[in-house]
Amino acid sequence: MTTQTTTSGSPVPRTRRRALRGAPKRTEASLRWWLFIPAGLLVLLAAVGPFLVPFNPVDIVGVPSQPPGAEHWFGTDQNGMDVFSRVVAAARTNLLVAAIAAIGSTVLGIVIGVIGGMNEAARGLRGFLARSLARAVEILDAVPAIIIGLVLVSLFGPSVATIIGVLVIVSLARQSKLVRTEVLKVRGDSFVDAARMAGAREINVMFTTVLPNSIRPSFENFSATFGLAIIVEAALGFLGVGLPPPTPEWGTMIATGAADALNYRWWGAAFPTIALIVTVSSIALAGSELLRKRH
Amino acid sequence: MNSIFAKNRWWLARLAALPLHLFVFAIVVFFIVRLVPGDAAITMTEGQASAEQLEAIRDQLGLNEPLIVQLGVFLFNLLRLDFGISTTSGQSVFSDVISRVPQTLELTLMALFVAAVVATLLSAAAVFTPRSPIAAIARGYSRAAGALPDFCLGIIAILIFYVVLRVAPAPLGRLDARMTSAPSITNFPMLDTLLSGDGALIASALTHLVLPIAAMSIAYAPYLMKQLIPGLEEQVDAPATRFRIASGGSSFMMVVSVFRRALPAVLVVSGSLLGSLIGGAVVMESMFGLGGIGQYAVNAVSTSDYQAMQGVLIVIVAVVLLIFLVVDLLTLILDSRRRVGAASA
Repeated sequence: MTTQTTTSGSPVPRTRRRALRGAPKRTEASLRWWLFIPAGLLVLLAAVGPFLVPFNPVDIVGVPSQPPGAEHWFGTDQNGMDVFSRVVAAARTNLLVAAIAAIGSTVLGIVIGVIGGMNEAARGLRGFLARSLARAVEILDAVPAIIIGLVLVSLFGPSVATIIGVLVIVSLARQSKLVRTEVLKVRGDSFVDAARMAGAREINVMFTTVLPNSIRPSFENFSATFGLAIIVEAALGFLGVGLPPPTPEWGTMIATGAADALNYRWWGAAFPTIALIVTVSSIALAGSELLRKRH
Repeated sequence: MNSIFAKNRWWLARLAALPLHLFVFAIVVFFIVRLVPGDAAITMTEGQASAEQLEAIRDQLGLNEPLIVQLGVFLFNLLRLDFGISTTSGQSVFSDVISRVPQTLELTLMALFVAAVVATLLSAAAVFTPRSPIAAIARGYSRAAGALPDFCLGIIAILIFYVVLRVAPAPLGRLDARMTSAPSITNFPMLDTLLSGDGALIASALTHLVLPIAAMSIAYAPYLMKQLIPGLEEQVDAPATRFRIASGGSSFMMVVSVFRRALPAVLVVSGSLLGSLIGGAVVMESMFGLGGIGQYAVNAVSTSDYQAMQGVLIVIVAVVLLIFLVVDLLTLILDSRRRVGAASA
């Protein structure tokens, strides 16, 4: 916001000026560490939760479709598996797969962004390939993630590796675009020329001079990437191309529960949905706090 | 710079890029489908055919030809809009897909419209009445972008309004089971229903669409607000606004002018949001049984109908790229500084 000019003696009437200034700007103090508690608890749950659950999450342990009660806290699903145990156990699957995918797409996005960005203006084949890469990334970003996921998982089979691959591909575009934009800004700076004049090889300029100075946006976007990976993973599970059952996974559980919801049984779908929303919100909360500190 | 081409280069160049992008994407799709491990002929027959039958199927699919010939045939067929025959419906994939595009597009556009209205009202409240409680709520809500997955909201809507309160209809279609849909005139189901003028039919169609559209617009309005609120804030303090105030313009005029100047950035965001919205519509369609591309794609996946999946992928990309083209051209029309060669002109 450009409040600077308003505070100097401008011709805007005082009363109007106050109304125009927007929300009061808060003074940014130190990191509010308590906003990281939900995300921290979640990681803890993913780490130790599967050892503490009362039932084996992949076993049939009771009468199907029991409402929540003393024995089965979240009820049982239509196969007779314990919903509570499955929701907790799925935290590990969902978080781990999405985390690997988010790290993978960030690393790959940085490499693609740096290589593409540095060769953008090159003559001949190299420049042509770099510019085509940028266009390809743009098209990839345009295709709905769900559609890419549906097609790829059904073609290559629903394994952990395929799903991680799909999640990497769908979040790759955004990450590499952010890095590429930054590389285009940085590559003309004098310190890059200085490195060249000092005799650094082009590949070293690319990866030791330009790369560290252009990866910040992709790190800032990491929590959004992580959240998106969790959502897409669960949406694929919901559409029936997630990790094969009976692996506990929130999306697949929501799909099973939604089928049961037609018989007015709410618990099978409600608990994994709540878990998913809490997870994504906690990550967004932690991420926005990390970002806020900088500005 | 006097020739007609140079004058119109900004939109001609953008227009020419579309077929090129589609062409490249089609080639990528071709190779991805061929990357699939296993023999397509064996997969199609589920391993129950004899060696001669397999050979016949390979011949029929052209799998015995060299790869480059296969690619040529594939691209030529695409040009003729021949996407092959769906193995489940037995019909041409292209007509299957294209007849479902309007359904998905209609749902997407209705959700985007509702999201835009919600985002505009809340952003205006947040910026023009900064100390009201609504402003605080609006700002908090705009930070929820990405933290409210559309399909979670859809499930929650079903659980609350269908399972617990029992006010919503079962999420199993666009109309009550005993009703027949309106005669198809435009292929856009809601539009056709409205055109039929049948009150009961319209009411039923609307009640079936309320939950999915609400879920989608609640999920996507924050993305628009995230762009709109800072944009409005910047414009509220811009010299143009102060000029209007100084020259005694009405506050209504001022609001209109602030919105008009904040619009181009929001247009770009809503264009790129449409891709995600179509993805959201695909999930909503299979969640609420609405038909459309989403259910078709999910069916194709569950029956391993590769021809149909390939067709869905290419058509959706074509639709998304077309939307991007329209958005790009609109932005170029609104803001001539973005045009190619504008800086030198």
